[in-house]
Amino acid sequence: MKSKEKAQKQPKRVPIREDLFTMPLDRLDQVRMKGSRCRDCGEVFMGKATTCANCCGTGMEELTLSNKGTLWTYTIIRYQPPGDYKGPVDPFVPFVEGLVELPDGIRVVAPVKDCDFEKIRIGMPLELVVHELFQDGDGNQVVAFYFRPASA
Amino acid sequence: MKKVAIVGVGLHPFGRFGNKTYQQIGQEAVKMALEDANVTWRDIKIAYLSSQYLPSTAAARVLKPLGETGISLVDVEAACASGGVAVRQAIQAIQSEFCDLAIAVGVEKMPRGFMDPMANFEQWQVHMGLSTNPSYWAMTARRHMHDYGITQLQMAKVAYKNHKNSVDNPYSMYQKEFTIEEILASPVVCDPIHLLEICAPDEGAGAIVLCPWEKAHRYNSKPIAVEACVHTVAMYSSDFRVPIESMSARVVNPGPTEVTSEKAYEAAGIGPEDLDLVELQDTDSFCELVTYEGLGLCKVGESGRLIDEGVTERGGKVPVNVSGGLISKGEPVGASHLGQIAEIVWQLRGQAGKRQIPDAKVGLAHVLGARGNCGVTLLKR
Repeated sequence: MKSKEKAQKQPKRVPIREDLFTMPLDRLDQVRMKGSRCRDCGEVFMGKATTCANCCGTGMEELTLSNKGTLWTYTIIRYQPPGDYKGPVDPFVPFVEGLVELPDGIRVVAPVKDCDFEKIRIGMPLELVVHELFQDGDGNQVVAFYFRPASA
Repeated sequence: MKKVAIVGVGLHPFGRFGNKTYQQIGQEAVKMALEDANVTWRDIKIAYLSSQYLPSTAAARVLKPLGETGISLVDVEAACASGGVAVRQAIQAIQSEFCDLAIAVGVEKMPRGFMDPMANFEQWQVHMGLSTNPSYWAMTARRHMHDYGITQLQMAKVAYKNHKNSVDNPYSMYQKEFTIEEILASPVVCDPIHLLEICAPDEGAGAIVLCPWEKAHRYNSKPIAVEACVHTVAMYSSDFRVPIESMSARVVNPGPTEVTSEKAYEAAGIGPEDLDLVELQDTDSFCELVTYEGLGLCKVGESGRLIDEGVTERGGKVPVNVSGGLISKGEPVGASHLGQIAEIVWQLRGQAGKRQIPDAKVGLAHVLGARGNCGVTLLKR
């Protein structure tokens, strides 16, 4: 009974985008990003895809994307991005935006955090971080992702 | 295919015009084009109006006050390539013998600063801070620099050239020369792109009147032939300048500029070696360089050499963005391609004043925008 009450007080976690993460979201260090792979040509897409943009095939299978990758290209976001940005804004913390190449054959656009701008280089190893980004209007914790320099 | 001519062009300057409405801005360009073609609004039998930021039924809002003649007033939108589609549709209306006189109009009056992210991004991308439009151009530039050794100095030279060209263009927003040092000292918008190397959203309009080639001399003593006008949208995994969420690491297809210009060259029987001038999508200075490669002005990776050797300067072998380009004119998205065409038509007629390229015969206009929408128009006198 006691544990149930505790669970009710815990804000519910919801993914920032449907079908982006493996579920459940209670242990964020174990959550991975999901993808879809075309059974015909093998191309991989982020999240759920029902049709292959490469070969127009409709036989898609789900896969779990790797949580390790390398930086393929990048820029530095020095000004607060336009629109309803949910990262730190007071003050705004500049961050790297990059395309992260995963061994699954896909490059994903992602924020890259916890890295020294002077040390950033194409090809550097990165690892996925799944985190609570903000609380939505319904009181849910919205779960998003970024990459950071790989620890090992 | 029936050959089509441009017999009238009109341009409203690009810039900021306070309380002047987009209707007034658009109507001025249309009236100028009609006058240039020696026709009246009543003679026009179909109109295509391109814009990205105007409200629904913008074509009717801009054009009805010129006379409610009951013709089809069609709205067209394809991001930065919107104008390319308006022109293509007008050409097809004539080629299909729907009518003899069609008009393509581009009009825009945009809010200041970064474009509204919701126009190009999903809500989750905005929340995560992935909605800075120029960041995608910057990431493309960074990778190309890594692969081919394009330098920041070469990028700055593009901005220097275009700003300098604009000094002689009364239709340009800035008309101001900047030194290489000033360009490289301007704020970094997104590494490696500086503020003076990027186009600003603004206001403006352009219009062209088209008719069948065999009837062109009735309207204008110097008709310009449209040798090709092609619009395509990027193939899978060919362009990541556009706001993407991911891309393939296995498949590489030819980019939208390559595909669109190749189709246009083929249709026209014209090659990149035949071009006397080019007006292209210099959303940022790197975009101009990579477009040299996409249009076949040089091989992949050699665009830095082209700018170093002055090939694309006003006095060079293939002058690019003699008008000042979008870097100095600003980019009123729906109007940009019409502005490029107006410049080329004036050049081919020998009416470009101080900007005139001697004896220009063939010109190419190129636009490229969100999701790989690309338009290429080839003009010849």
